[in-house]
Amino acid sequence: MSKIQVGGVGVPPVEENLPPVVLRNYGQWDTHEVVRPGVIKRIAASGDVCYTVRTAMPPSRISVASMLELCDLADAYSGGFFRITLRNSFEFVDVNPAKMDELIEKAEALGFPVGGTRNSLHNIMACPGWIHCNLPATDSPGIAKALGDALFDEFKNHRLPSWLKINIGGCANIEEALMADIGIIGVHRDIPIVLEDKIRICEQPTVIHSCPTGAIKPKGKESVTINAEKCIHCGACTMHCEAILTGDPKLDGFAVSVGGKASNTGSGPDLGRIVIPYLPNNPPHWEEAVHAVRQIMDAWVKDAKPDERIKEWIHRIGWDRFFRRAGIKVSIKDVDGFWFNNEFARSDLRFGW
Amino acid sequence: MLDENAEVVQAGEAEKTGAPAETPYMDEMCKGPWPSHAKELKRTRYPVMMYEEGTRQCYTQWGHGGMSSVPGLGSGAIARKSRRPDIISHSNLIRVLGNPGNFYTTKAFRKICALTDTYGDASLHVLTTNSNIEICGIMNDQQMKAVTAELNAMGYDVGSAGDAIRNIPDCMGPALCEYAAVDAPRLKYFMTKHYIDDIQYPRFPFKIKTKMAGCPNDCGKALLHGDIGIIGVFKDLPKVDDEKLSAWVEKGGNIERVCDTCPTDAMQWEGTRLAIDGERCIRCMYCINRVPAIKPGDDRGVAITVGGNMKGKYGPKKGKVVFPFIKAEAPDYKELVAAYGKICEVYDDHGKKKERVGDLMQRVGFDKFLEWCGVEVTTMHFSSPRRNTFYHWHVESEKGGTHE
Repeated sequence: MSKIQVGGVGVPPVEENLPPVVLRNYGQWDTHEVVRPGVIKRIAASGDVCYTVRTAMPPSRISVASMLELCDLADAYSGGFFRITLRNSFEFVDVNPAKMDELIEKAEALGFPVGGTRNSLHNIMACPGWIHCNLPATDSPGIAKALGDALFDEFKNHRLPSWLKINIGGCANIEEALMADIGIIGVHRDIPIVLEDKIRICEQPTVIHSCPTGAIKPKGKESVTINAEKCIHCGACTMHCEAILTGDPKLDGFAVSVGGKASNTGSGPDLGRIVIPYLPNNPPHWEEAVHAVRQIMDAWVKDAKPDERIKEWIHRIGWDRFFRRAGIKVSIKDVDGFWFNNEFARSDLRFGW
Repeated sequence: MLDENAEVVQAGEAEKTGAPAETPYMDEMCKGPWPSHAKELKRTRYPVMMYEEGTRQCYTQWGHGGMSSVPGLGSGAIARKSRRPDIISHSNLIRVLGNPGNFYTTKAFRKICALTDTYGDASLHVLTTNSNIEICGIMNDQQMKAVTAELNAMGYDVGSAGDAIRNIPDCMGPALCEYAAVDAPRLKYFMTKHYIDDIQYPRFPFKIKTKMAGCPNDCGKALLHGDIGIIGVFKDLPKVDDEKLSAWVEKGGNIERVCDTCPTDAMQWEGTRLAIDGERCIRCMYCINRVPAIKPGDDRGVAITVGGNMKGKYGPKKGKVVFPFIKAEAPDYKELVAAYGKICEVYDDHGKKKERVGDLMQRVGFDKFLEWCGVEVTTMHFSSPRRNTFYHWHVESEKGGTHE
């Protein structure tokens, strides 16, 4: 590939940010155990030990003041080193085990609960939602907070059958939601509005071609129309053009998906499937979201074998029984009518009556 | 309405001076044991009324946004307009590329915090879905440039927006994890350095999100949502330390259960020795995750998957394996760079505007894409062979297409 050459700084070298014990044992780790929820003990081949302490983080935004408080703790207890995990938890790296309890006490006093390892609820991931975005149909940080409060005990204890990861995306654009055991995805139901006076600033060919169903057609030479029958409310046009607005306070809401998993173990990686097509927005407590997640989680906890993620559980019992046991009503919206429709229709008679 | 808004702004202003602002929804969200974003926002200069009003109306108050082109800044500057000019006119942000392995020192992070406090509204988005840090609430280009200059001085850089190669998130790899089959943090460092211009200067049909994971456990979810996913794999059988395994079993480890639940039934516990059937093992990491005495094999490399995305044009898609096994050898990662470059090139050549690479594959067919990438097809490239006979027979090489 031919490259342009401008030259940027890039990222700091790996070694610069590693605690000495990690640097010494880089690539020489042998095993690890979870000492208590949130605390992982990593043992190297040389016998060196590195404790990490994991805390939940507020969804999406954190203030500098809180971040500095966490930095103070890291300075005092982990030699100034920390890492942010791929699920956005804050992890103190290389904590002195003698001062472990003190650190956990102090972190929790600051409002950062320690937990989220192994068979518990892991940190909840959320996009900025209504905090700082024009696309969302739902407020992911608000839902994350409500779910975190409701399922707090699961975060602090190892009592679930396996890991439970919950991701929340405010619109169909956010990639995280379908990857989690339980995902929440914002759903638009309105037909986008075209601002006739501003549409000229957009690249109209891009907008027209961005529509997956061909619902957008030119209107004269200066504007576009949207065919309501064809619109699937994906938000692509809004993303590419400032003069097309999506979203309506009365119509927006969210869908719930289950069974995403990245690991290649068991039945392999897969994206989640959407089981609840629409629930209304209801800030600030989001009762519908909490109820739906609890419904699914409780059915899973009651039914699953040890070590069985939600995807594996559904793989074992089948979708017939999943819907029945989780008490979720099936509707025509559960049948995929977009692109993959043939593959997800049923072509066997192995029913779970 | 206008008056009400004026009051609202005052309430936001009043907060700075210590008087309570009227934010009933946010106050409600400050309660409870889970860390609260509302509480965090209130500790910053973020215009809280934007969020409060959003929650009250069930509708976002922010307007269109995206990569803003500030000369000299590449793609790190992101603009966001507001639909409520009475509260705030706009709020931009700078996207900082995350560190390899996402390890940070408080020394560097304090500086980032200080920058956010000086130039931004003192709120950070710590780790976006692509493992960037966002310095939020920056109001003008000069401030953005100043932030970037100071970040560059401390060895950090901005980028990862627009139709560019995005930041390359990676797992902690061998830095802290015993499973890693590829040195993900060092590879991330190399890739970022190597492709920094493509990360900072958008030139592709649409974004290329590259994700990295050290082993088939795929903590980075590279296969599921990476336009290009780079995942550490091993070719030979898992290594078993029989002595250690026996000790583990003696201490109460349930090896029978692991053997029973192996997805392909490839393991047999013979009392003192574990036999793994090479004809059955699929290198899925199941036993490795559960038994400390089993480790990934030594013949290590990476698999490259292409085409995962969440929305795209044709809906959510998983990535598809294009290069099942290539060596990733430091210092120049020759094979990997060649493969990665090839994929980018194919995408650049054939992708339509605003079409993700997964959509391109869907449009032209996976066989065509493999052909373009110059890949020799093996059984590793599909989960099952095809069901239809609608091939493209080549007119010249395969004597198809024309009547004699």
